[in-house]
Amino acid sequence: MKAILSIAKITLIEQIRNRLYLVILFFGATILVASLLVGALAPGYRVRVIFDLGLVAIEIFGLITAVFGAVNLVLQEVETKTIYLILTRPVNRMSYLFGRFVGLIVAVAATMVFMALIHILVIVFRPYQFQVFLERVDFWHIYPLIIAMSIGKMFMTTAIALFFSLFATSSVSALIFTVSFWVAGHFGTELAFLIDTSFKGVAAILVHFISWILPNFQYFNFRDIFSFPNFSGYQYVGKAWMYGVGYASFFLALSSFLFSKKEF
Amino acid sequence: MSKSDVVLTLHHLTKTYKRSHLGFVKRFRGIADVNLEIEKGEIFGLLGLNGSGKTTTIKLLLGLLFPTEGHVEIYGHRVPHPFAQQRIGYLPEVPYFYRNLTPVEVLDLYGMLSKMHPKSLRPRIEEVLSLVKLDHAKKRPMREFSKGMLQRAGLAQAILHDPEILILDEPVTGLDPLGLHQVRKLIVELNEQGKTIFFSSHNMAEVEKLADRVGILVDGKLVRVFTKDNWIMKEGLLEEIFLQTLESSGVSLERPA
Repeated sequence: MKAILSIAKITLIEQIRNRLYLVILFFGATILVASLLVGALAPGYRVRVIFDLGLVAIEIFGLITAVFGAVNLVLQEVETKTIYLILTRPVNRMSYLFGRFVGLIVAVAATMVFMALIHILVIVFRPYQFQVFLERVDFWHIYPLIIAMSIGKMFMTTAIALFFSLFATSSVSALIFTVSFWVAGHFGTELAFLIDTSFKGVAAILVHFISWILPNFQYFNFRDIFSFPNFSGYQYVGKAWMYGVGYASFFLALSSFLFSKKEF
Repeated sequence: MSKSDVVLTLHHLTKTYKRSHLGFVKRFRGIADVNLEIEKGEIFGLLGLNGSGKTTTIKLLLGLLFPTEGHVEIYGHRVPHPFAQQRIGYLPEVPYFYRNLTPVEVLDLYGMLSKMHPKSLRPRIEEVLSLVKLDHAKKRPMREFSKGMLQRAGLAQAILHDPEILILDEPVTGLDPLGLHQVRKLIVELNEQGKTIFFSSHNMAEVEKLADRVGILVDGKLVRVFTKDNWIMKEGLLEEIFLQTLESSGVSLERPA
């Protein structure tokens, strides 16, 4: 446990001191503030636009933090051989992997929470429109849930990014594979529909297998808040998180198994 | 050599690399059937040309590579084993560190991973940084370090947890004459404290000065192991022995380096 925490701590420190991470944070914050200008283009829906754009930005920048964090810290560590000095100590490889994962997920969650706070400030910056918005949406109740669900998505994405960073041959391929999984993960329902309607026999089994490997991010899609004006399904949130943790655990277990066989 | 004096054993150690491309598997030898016993407190130097298998041997000792045949034992435990890893300090040929961290932070991480007690860790970090003459740079991010400073930081992390065996891959590479002198002095001091030292080098003069025993690797085979008595009487004799060994193993001394 001490080894996991030490590696997680160093991952977090490295991430915070990485200029790229600071640039990501800066751009994220800038986009959130700039959403005020975009909101001005839709006078009747100003807060809605700021709200939607902000949530997308929070998720995208969470994704960028996860992917670049994994690529920068893990893939580079293998390439520059800094990993030798860790693996030659009495630390099992699984602890190394979990430490990196915990550190990364804390960095990703911190990025998202930081951006969410700026987002809230930007939203309440328009008090009148915000008051109108509050009449339609139980904002203070639902907003933390949306962020929690977005972090849930990133929990899975970080496990995927870590897997590809350990086994991809270059940072570009790790990045492409992770982003492809992230994009494909948003089409779970469409894929299920395709399996039912367009494939038969072996092809159906194959596509079904692919759909099982891909994450299903639609369980976490709560950004369209207006469909759930008085949402109170904590049970659903719990179930979605259980799925997320299960999926991430599967990827971590797979990474751990393959990593134990990896030679340096 | 009694069995109890042996701290590190290589049993028929063989490593064959496999490279596959378009379904064609190509195999080539890393090292083949290496047998060796290292005694407690000795300094063993591994000599060889580029690509002779020195780094492969060291990686097998550390558990970074897995042997194709044979095995390594450290204090009777098959590598990789936490008991063995706890007793090893390793200096890579080119030590890379986390660029944004300071030496204190890096050593803190390595100390924790080596299961050192947090209370004893901080004073020990100060001690080793002072030993390798890096105490003045302890709060500087390591991206600002010169090659020589990185090499000394590498040595600091290798001795941090007071290991019984030091495995050093080209320990003097990239050091200026002063750094070289300091590192050599440190290696001798550590040996005087009872540490066993296994190192690889190209630098014949260093091996001549430091080693009690030398092994010569040629194309992955340990072709000759001999003690200090063979070269101590004349400066430069070790180089002569090395070249003779290469020639007798079929290596042309006229081949391009």
